Amino acid sequence: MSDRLKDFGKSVDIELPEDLDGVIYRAIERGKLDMRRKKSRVRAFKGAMCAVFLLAAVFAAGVNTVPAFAEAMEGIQGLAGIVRVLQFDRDRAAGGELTDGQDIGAVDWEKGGEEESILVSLLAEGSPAGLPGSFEVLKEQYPGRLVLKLHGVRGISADITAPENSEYVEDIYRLVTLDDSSQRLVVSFKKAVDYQVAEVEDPAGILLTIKPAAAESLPELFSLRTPSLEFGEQVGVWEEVLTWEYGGKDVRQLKDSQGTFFVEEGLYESEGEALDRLGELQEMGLDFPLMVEKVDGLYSREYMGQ
Amino acid sequence: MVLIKLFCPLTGLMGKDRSYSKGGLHLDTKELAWKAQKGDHEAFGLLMENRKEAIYRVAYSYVKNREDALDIVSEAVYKAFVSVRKLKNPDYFNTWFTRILINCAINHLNKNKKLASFHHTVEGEAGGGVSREEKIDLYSAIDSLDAGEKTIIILMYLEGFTLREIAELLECPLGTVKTRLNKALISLRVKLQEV
Repeated sequence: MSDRLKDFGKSVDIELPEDLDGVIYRAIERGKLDMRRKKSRVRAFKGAMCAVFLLAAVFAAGVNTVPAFAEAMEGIQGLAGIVRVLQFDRDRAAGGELTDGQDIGAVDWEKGGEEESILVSLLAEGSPAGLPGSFEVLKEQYPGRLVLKLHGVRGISADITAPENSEYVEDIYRLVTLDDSSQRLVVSFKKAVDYQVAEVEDPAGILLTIKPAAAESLPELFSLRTPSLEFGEQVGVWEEVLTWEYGGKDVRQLKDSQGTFFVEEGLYESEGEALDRLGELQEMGLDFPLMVEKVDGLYSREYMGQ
Repeated sequence: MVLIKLFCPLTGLMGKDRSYSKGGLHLDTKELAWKAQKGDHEAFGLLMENRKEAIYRVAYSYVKNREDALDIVSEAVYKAFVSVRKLKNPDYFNTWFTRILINCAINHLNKNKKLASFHHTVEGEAGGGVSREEKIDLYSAIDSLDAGEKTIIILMYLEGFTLREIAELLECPLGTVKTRLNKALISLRVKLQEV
């Protein structure tokens, strides 16, 4: 076999395309353009970081818990691109302006002392956008994570990867979103953290600043969930079906410890409660598998096959 | 149109370093890689010029068609260009680049989820000691291997890497490469009904 393969290798000729040089040249030019864009983003990122640290220092003076103060801070000029620091109402915050056709151009992570930051940069027609489109940020537990819902964002050209040396961030990933006029990104955490979310302009971005928080003790709960699947349309379909056809209130997508995805229908205080809900769904005609998973608030969810 | 030989034992991809004259200076791959790492775009361009045939051959070996092979080349060159600063040791530029290229090729195959057909490609190929029918059988058999085994067969028999070089390239123990190669050869034998 080995000799046959060697003869085979020696005997095969291929044509070298005439435009090979052109392809290589264009790839290098694309790289140059990308690096120039990145440099400009880094400058904007650093400016925004300074502004956030300045704001954080002011907040630390003792007024950060007063919503009226936060409102008064909105629209302050001269703070290097920061439009405003978002205030969470329960577990939800919102920002941005109604727009369409944006694209997630980059997701950059940076560490500075005890704090870490993530900047989501937005593009419009291939160039940095001025203001971020309308977006929501949702705080979640089991595991601790932030979900960014970006409306009017139709694509993700960024290469999204988990930061390698983060103390707090477990992963950054996208969710399957069947609506082609929005995208969802998740930042999941390794431990309990505090965070601040700011809206940045010129260039448009969403800046998360993360710092350590006291660990909290979370009770054991029971999740009703689907098996794990590769990232793809089916995950989005399950999420939509459970939400709209079966009236699930806390339906969400999660990534498990093996990098595959599943849909959770809800979290229940006891296994019996979860099984009751499962029975209810089956009576209603549920035609795909759901199972019960015990979750203890640790910052990782398990792979479960069919 | 230029015809190149697919089999190029170590003078191409891993190759004994070719050298260049740039600005009156005589530069080898290591020096060019060092310069590229420091932000010299021209040096990076020269490295690609040196390797373009080998780059294309490897890409083509995975997808067997010109358009997809050029897409893979483009993606690999782009990725290498934007990350060359992170290269730890310029001595390993070729290994590092080939690893990027293989990853791009495998990603491309996974993304497109299609088996490239060798059949139409064989039509236009030059002769040699192996009949066209035999080539088609071998191509089809290689195609049916999993990505890991296919990579080893391509690197070893089409590109002339040694087992040790493949182990280095794939960052896995030599024993693992040998095992995978044996497995791949057994699979090929079975598919070609030689057992």
